[in-house]
Amino acid sequence: MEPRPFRFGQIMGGKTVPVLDRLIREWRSRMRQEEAFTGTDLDELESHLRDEVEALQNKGLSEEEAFLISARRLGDGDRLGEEFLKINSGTIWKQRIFWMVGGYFLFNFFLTLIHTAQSAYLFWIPWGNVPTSFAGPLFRVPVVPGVLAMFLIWLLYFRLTQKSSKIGRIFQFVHAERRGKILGILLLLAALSIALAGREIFLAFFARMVTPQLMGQIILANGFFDIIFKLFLAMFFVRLAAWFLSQKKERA
Amino acid sequence: MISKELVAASAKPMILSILARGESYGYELIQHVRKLSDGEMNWKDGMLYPVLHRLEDQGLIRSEWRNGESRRKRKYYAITPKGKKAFEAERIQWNRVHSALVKSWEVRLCQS
Repeated sequence: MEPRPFRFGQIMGGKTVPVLDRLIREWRSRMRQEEAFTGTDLDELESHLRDEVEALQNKGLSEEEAFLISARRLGDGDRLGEEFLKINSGTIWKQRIFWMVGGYFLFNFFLTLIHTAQSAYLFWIPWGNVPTSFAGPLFRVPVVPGVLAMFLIWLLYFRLTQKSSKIGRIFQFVHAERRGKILGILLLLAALSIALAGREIFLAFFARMVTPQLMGQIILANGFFDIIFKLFLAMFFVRLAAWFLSQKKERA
Repeated sequence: MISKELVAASAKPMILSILARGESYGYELIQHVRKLSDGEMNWKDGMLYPVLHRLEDQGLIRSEWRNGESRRKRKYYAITPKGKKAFEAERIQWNRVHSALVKSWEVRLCQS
């Protein structure tokens, strides 16, 4: 059998990637080096590129030639990036803050994991006094009000971000306007702070009445709850940020 | 070839007036401008998109990803009522500039 002529399309896992797709993928990864472009910006530029390539191919150019000319006509990442940066700078900053805060929550979550493991080692293992039941009072003390707080905050969040017209005036204000969104987020953060502060006060108050050893167990139970709570916080924040950043799309 | 500054200044009225005739996407818009100007107005292709996005932010046009006549998805732009008003205002201004220029040339012709 004649050996197949070598095509530029790479063989990947038995599948041939068309030349143009490969070139465009490389082009996209080059453009992505610039922070200025959002994903949809690149989608739009890619669509333009494909139109141009098609037009040039109809004039008799090869795929590669057509691509090179089209990409040059479109402009290089540097110069285009400058222009896109002017209109996208707001979004870019929001995204930076989003990742910063999201990263903090993730870090916090792992910190809690470590702390809980630490207190498990300090309070449980050496004393051998593992609680007989996870539903015991030691777990109920921090967990029940905590779960209640999480539930209420989640409920508040849904009431605030829902689109239904049945809900009250305040909620509509929160939904429709930018200032309203900021107010809504402040409200949620306030509820969150009250829930957190309340738990701390509750624990401090409780600590005066029990033996240090029992307190150790309570701290541990609290730690277990914290793991869940921090995960909740991270997820909650991501949803909140997605809601807040979705403004532009809604208006369009 | 028309200067870069003039091309940049006329981008907004140009886009609005093309979209006032019907919706379109970036690539097609550029082709329109080439044809209308007999190739004298040369946009660096990619530069059109930031202008489009800015006009969208101002609420003069709106966009939508859609499958057009081809199988590929494209981002279609259409003019909004606010954009139509802006287009009328632009047209009046550009007509004034144009007629002022024409008059000034006529004056010079008479003097010489």
